[in-house]
Order: sequence, then structure tokens, then C-alpha cells
Amino acid sequence: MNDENINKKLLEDLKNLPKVEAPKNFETELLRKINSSDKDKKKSLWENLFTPPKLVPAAVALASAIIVFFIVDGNSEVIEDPLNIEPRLRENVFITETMDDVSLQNEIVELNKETKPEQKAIRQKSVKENANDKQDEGVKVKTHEMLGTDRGIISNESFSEKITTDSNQSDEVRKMDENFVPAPVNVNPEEISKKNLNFMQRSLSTQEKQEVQQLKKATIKKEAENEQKSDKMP
Amino acid sequence: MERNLNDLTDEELILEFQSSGNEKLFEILVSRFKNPLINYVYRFLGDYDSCVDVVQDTFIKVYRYKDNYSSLAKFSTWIYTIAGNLARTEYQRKRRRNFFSINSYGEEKKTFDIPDEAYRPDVQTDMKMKSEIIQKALLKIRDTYREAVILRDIQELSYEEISEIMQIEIGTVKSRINRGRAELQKYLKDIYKD
Repeated sequence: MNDENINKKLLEDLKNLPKVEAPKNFETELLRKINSSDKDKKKSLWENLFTPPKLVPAAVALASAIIVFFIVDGNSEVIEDPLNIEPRLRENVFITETMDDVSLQNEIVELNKETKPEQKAIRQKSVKENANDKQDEGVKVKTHEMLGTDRGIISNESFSEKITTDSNQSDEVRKMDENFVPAPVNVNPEEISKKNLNFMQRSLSTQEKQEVQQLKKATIKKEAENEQKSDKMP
Repeated sequence: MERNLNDLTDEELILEFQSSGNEKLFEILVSRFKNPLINYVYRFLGDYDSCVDVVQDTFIKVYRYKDNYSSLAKFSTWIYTIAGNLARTEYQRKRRRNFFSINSYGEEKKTFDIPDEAYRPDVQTDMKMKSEIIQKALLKIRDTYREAVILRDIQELSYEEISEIMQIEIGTVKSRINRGRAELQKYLKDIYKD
């Protein structure tokens, strides 16, 4: 028998295979299953969801968790680590600094006229770096400057310079600082009192400002003279 | 009234059942499709009890998810698809179970070929015996080929219907049928030798 005949015979046999029939109780069994599955479905929706033995522990746990959460959250305050709090920036401090910057620019111009070109460059550099460092140092340095300007004590500039040299000064500036002699200040210690200190720096009278400028100029001149003297020294 | 219902097509019955929920309509559908489905699933699984369960599950799904039927498809295609999916799942479950039960007595990673006396040439080949042999041969071919061969050569469905039921291209249906037939010939060559 060749393949074609085998194929034909096979197809015939497949077609003539005895038909399998469903059992007699197929429908009744099916309806019973459908009804039971419907009941299961209803049970799963209502009874399973609201069966007390199953839900009570979970509901109690959930309710207690919610209550605890709200109680704890209601009383909680955001506690900041004081070591990590950044200092507050004060607008009045910025104002005084901008005034100082203006005066520093004037001083640089004056120094350019007075000193030698090499010294000019060094001095300009140091003054600029000091100005930048002052900004970086923030409120701490600025408050010192405020104190100085308020009371007419310009020598505090040297104090701020000292602070800045610790952080970011170049070698040239450090050399200068070694030779730096603090300017003598003609201030009567009796004048310094708590009452006279104006921490807020809200209002400087024109007279006070002029005094500050004069004292600054005087100290800068003296510094320049000291530098010249030190240059002349072998 | 009942006569009128029996005159309705399968699609009309299921659409009416969707809208009215009349269980009489569902019973008519069951009476129309229970035997073809039993035949189809039995030839696929080779086990009568499992086949009855699968067909009952099929009708339960039709009853429960009747609203999922869309009038775009033929009802017969839809119900054959459901039955085919359930039969495939049942077949894979049974195969896993048989595989582990046989392997537990033998060597690891080695399956046993169960000796089949029916393939011996001296076995009497009357129609009853022949049908048993064919059924066993059917169970030996790949399930994808078997499904296609049963739907085409036993259930006598069209290629288009088989394509929809198996959710594959018509070309694939044809190739699966041909390969299935070829495998069947290989297994049944002894009874067609003379």
C-alpha cells in the first residue's frame, strides 16, 4: 500500500471513529455545578469579606495602626539638628558689606597711585582675595566688620583679614601677613560700651560713615608706609 | 414557544441568553454542543472522566462569561476555543503528573516507552480495536498537531474555523494538519501494511 492509499485510509478511519457521547446525567451535573459555583461566588463576595473571625484581627490591627500613626504624627515636630542649621543671612549685613566693597575699590585706586607697580599687584590681589574670602566666610566675618564700622574701629579689618588668611589665601598674601603690623588705633576704650554698640546697623549717620572712611584710609596709609619701610630694609 | 427557541441559531440563542438570562436558552446550547465537545476533548485527552469535567467547565465558563461573547464571532468557534484551552491545560497537567509518576520508578532524566500490544501485527484489527489503536496513536503525536487533526479530520471543521479556534494562520493550520497526519501514518503503518 503506497502513501496516498494509507493517507486516504487513515482519513476515512478518523472520520469513522465512533462518536463519544456525553453521560446521561451531564445536564443535571452541569446545572448543579453552576448553582454551586454561583453560591460560592456570592459567598466569596459577602460572607468571606465580612466574616468576623477572619476580619476582626486585621481590622483591629489596621485601626490601631491608623490611630497610632495620627497620634504620633500629630505631636511630632520637626527637630532640626542645631549643628546642621545654616546661619541666617541678614540683609543689613549685606548692605554694610556692599558699602565696604565700594570703599575698598577706592582704596585700591589710591594705593595704585601711591605704591610701586609690583607692590600694587600684590596688594590688589590680596585686597581682592580678602574681599572674596569675606563673602565666603559669611556672617561671622561680616559681624566683626560691623562692629568695627559701628564703633569706628577700623583695626578690625586686620582681624577679618586674619580669619580669611587661615582659609584660602595665596602664598604671596601670607608673606605679606607675616610682615603685617596692626595699625595703631586711637580709640578710647571707655567709649566702647554695650549701649554704644549698634548691632543692627540699621542707620549710620553720615558723620559716622565719614569717620569710618577716614579711619580706614588712615590705617591703609599706615599699612602702605609699613610695607615701604619693610621693602627698604635689607 | 419551545419549538421557536429550538429553531434559533447558536448565535441568536447566546445573544438572547445574554439579554434575558433565560436558562432554557442555555440548556438548548448545551444539548447542541455537549456531544461534539465531548468527542473533541476525548480525542484530545484520551480520558473520558477528564473529558466530561473539561466540557462541563467549558459550559460553566460560557454561562458565567456569556457577556464576553461578541456577535462578530461564531458561537461554535468561541465555545471550541474555550474547550480547547481547557483541554490543553488539563493535558499538560496530566502529562506532568504522569511524567513524575513514571520517573519516580526509573532512572533520572529517562522516560519509559510503555509497551503497546495493540501495535503487534498479529493483533486483530476490527473496528473497535482499530479505533483504540488510532486513539493511542493520536495521543502520541504532538498536541498542537493532534488538535488540528482532530478538528479537521474528526470534527470536520473548515480551515477558517480551525484557524479561529486555534488562533493561528490558515497556512499554519494546514501545515500542522499535514505533519500530524504524517506522524499518525508513521505510528499506524503496521495496521495499513497489508
